[in-house]
Amino acid sequence: MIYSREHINGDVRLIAEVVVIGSGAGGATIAKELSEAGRKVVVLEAGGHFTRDDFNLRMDFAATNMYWYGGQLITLGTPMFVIPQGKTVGGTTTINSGTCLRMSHSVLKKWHMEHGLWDINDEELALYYAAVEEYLFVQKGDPEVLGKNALLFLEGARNLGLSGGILPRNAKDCEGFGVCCFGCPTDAKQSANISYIPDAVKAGCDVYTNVTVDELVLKGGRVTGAKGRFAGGNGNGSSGPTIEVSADVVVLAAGAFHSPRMLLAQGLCNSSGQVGRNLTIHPCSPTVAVMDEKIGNPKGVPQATYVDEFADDGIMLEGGTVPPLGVAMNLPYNGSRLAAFMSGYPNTGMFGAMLSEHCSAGTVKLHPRDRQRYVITYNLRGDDVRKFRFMTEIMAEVWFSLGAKSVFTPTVSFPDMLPSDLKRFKKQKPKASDYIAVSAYHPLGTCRMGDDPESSVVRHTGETWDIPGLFVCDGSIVPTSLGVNPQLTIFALAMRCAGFVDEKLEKVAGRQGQGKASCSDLH
Amino acid sequence: MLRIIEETVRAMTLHVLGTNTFPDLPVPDPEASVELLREWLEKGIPEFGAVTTAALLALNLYSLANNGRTLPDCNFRAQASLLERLFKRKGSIMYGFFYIVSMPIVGAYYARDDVQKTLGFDVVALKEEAERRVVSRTASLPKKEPGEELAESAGNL
Repeated sequence: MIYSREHINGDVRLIAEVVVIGSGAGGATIAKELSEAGRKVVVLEAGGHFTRDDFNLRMDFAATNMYWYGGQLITLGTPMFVIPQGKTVGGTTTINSGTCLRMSHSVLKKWHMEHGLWDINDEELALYYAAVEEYLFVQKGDPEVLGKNALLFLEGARNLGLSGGILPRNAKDCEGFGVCCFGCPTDAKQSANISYIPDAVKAGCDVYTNVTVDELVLKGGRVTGAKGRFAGGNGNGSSGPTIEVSADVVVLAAGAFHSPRMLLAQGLCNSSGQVGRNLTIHPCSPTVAVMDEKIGNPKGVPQATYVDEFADDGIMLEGGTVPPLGVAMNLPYNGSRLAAFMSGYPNTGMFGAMLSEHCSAGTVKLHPRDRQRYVITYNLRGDDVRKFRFMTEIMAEVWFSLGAKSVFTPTVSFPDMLPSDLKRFKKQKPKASDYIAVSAYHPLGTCRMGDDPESSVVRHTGETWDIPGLFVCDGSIVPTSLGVNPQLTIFALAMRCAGFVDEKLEKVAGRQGQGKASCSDLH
Repeated sequence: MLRIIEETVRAMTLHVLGTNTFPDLPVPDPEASVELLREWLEKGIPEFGAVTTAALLALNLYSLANNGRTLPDCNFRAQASLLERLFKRKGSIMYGFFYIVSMPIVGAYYARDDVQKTLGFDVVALKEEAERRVVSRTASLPKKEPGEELAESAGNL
């Protein structure tokens, strides 16, 4: 069952075999796999449980209710990036665009060479990828529903000789309502909240929502459960009843920010000094083009097509449309100029690009005054600044080739670029501080896995080096940038990790000389 | 929330949105800007609240230094001129403050259903349509009947 705040009248004490903290791509997969294997699993989720009945296509509703910190999560550094992260059942999978790409062999090679992860091989990973793709109905979008924006940009790029195509997504019978990032209103997008979590629940898993986990409980050097607190009566804060789950294994799957935050708050698993370090993100730059013709955004699939001509250089162009609110909030205009630009919204084309391979890295540190929060530092540096400028440049070129009258870019120097500005823009020395209103996605690496306890936080199995029975299974264990959107890889790694958790439980049961623990729900 | 902050946001709303010369766009509601800022201050990151509050106070100090009055106490023309001056100082701290303070104003206005519908995004019609097109993991969605296309986002512009 999925318990919401209103189901809870007093403190809750539970016994399970596994407690999973977080219900995103990592946690939901673990919960489903282990529940279906007959394990008693309890999931603790910080966000609320929203369904398609709640998904009202409104960006403001989604940001306020389903994004961490109302969508105001930002990095400290130059430039500052907004990082949207899901805080709801299904985690970020509920509010992402649904893109499902496998990582390349070259990335895996890097995992082998630089992190000693020889236990993860192409053949094994391909099996997990295939299983996840089948389960999530991963397929390329139907051109009939992709929308004019996506196909127009792709055509423009191809006319310039750039390679690209239609993105594979975890969507079934998608009809292009254009609001993937605010919760799919038809359940077409197969995010964890409508796939893995319901199947886990069907197999006996209990999910407790609106729970802030305060503490991982330790006994004799082993982890024995987790303690937390429900939100207050209004669904906010963490002033409600307490919850304590005793379990043989704890799986931390709270994402690349909260997983290291929780470990740092208790001073756990950091003998390597790597917890919270090695953060990689995909810094993104949007473009909004003013066209003569009507484009009809956001109708269609927001992230439907891609241009991978520069993928080897660490640049991926991927569609990204947003409703009028999303455009207005990013424009550095005011007054009649803002109104004029927004009046032309029906004629605007949009596309985005991400720095998919980069040399910049960041950190997640504990907030100095609040152990429940963290501070992300990240600076765009070195060649990344040049690449970031190039991304904007190439998108503007595509739009101008399609007849755009002007292109909005997130730069202070050329916010409203005309075709005649392109040459000057290219000549300008790139500066990180030139960018405003930029966002970043796909945080990874802050509890990285590896074969050396001195330079990694978890083993290839997901189990931490320092505390037996404590696993981490989310984007934080991915040791390098993947070059592509990471959700498919996180699902696949979690499926792999579930097998090792199951093995661990067998060992624990053997040691205790007893069978599987029974769940005792005392509330 | 301090009264000066509420009054400043109210006073800035029409200037920031600039819809007065665009009759097709619905009329802004300064109270909605104040309400959204209140919600952000309650639910958002405390630092965002602190920076927004500091930015609003800084704008008023700037106004005092330049016009001898706080922003809400200036007449409409003086407010417009002061904000325009700030807006042109791209890259400066004052521009940054202005940008931050504008966000709840822009956010409250462009989140409105009537505004989004005018711009071609009919949230209400699309939601009704979505309710008729629920996807199941175990069955295929029936094909649409002719004329049963997604709500055309024609808009009024």
